Amino acid sequence: MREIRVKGASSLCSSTTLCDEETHVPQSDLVNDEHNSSVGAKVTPEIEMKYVHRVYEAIAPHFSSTRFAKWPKVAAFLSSLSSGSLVLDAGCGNGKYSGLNPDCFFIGCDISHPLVKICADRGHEVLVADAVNLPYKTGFGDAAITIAVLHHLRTECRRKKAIEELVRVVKKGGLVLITVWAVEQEDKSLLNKWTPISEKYAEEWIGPSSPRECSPSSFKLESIQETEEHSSGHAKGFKESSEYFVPWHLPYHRAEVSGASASALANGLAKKDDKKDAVVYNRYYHVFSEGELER
Amino acid sequence: MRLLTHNMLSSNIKGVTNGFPLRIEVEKVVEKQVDLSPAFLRNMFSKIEWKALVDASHSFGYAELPEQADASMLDSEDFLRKFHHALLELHLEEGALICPETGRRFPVSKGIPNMLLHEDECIMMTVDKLKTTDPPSPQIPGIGLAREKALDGYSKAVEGIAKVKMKIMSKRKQKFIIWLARNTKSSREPQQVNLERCTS
Ligand SMILES: C[S@@+](CC[C@H](N)C(=O)[O-])C[C@H]1O[C@@H](n2cnc3c(N)ncnc32)[C@H](O)[C@@H]1O
Repeated sequence: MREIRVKGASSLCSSTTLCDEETHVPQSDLVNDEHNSSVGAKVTPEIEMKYVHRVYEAIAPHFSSTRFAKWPKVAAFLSSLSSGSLVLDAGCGNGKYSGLNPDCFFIGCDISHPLVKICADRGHEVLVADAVNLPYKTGFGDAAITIAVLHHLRTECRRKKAIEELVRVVKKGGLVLITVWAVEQEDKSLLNKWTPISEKYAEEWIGPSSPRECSPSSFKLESIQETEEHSSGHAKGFKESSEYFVPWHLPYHRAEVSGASASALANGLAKKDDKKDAVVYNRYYHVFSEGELER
Repeated sequence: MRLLTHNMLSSNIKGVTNGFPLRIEVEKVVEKQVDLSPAFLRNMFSKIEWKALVDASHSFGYAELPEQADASMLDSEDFLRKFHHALLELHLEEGALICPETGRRFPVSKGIPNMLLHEDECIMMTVDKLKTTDPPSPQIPGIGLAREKALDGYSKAVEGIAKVKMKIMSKRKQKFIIWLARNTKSSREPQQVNLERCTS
């Protein structure tokens, strides 16, 4: 395979540590993983490594201690499953949905080892695996869920592959529940807290970008459109950007426990915010517009 | 890792055609009691590959399962208890899982299997390759993606998904999209995923 070269890449990417950043990397070698990519769905883009996997590794205990509020609709879905079902949770985080229905058995996976460890310590059945490439037999599960995970996947191909995988691993007729962050947000101040990953960013970090090719959907699904609560139009201005950095504030007193923060600060993955007494990590998010998943 | 999980796991390394069952390297097995659920055992019985479960339980030092089993045995309480014990109460705490085709070792530490692949073990494609495959024919069942559509991707690529419901939900002012899909494909025929066509 070709190496993925990314400017300013971390030591994870040995090719860049050898070459002198920009000057020695010909433009054509800079891979924009969304478009002129030489990488397929299963190769984790650098941006995910850095702004998803490593961030969750570093914030795991704090993230977990703040994750307990459950989505009523997810809970309702889980309790609607028939007794004795096997539920597969991809990107299970701290396992807060596992065991929500005591009549079902859950097997979770997550890419973050520290989070999986937290699940295991709580007695959940878990493994470390990539949702894009589930190491499961076809049709073994009765249902699958992936809650707030898909928006961390950087390329459309990987997001689709993850959906495909979830559908593959459930039995015929089995249900898959997916939730993702929406781009349309009522509260615009929320968007202000997020940093759009601009063209500039993309050029600096990922390579020259080609225009987004989002042809209209031709996917025909037997769909029941529920437009309840749907407010169209008001977030027009945000349509342009579907990629954001969403900050995670790790309070200083929590940061001390993991040495990860020290190295994250040292290599620029995180910043200090003395006003908030926190180490600020950026997490990569692709936010979805309504209908996007249907394509 | 329980034997239930072992019965589900399959090596998905590039090029591997049959990644099941993973061989088990046992260093340490622990037992943890859990409540028996007849409904769950009945449901799982139809999915479990019995021989793989028997072999795996042997490697854990448990020899109580019959070599052959059929659904009528589910009426026996004694059978249910043994099945339950093998499936859910024995854990591989330390050891490894070995891909039957490539011999690749997936470590199991503190009860957690690490099934992450290295990049060169993942299936991938190149755009160059896509350009030269002209026109992409729908040889793979369920995949009939026309080349000009390759970039808008998924639409035609996957059959067997029916969207059931879609909602927008909000929590603390944050909006989420919730999507419920149903697998409408037969689970028995392996669903091949053609990554050659999957690009964007
Ligand atoms: C916002 S959290 C949601 C966790 C949990 N589902 C919940 O609802 O609390 C996102 C999770 O996705 C995991 N994740 C990100 N990319 C992943 C991937 N490619 N495969 C599996 N898990 C992934 C992260 O480690 C993190 O635990």
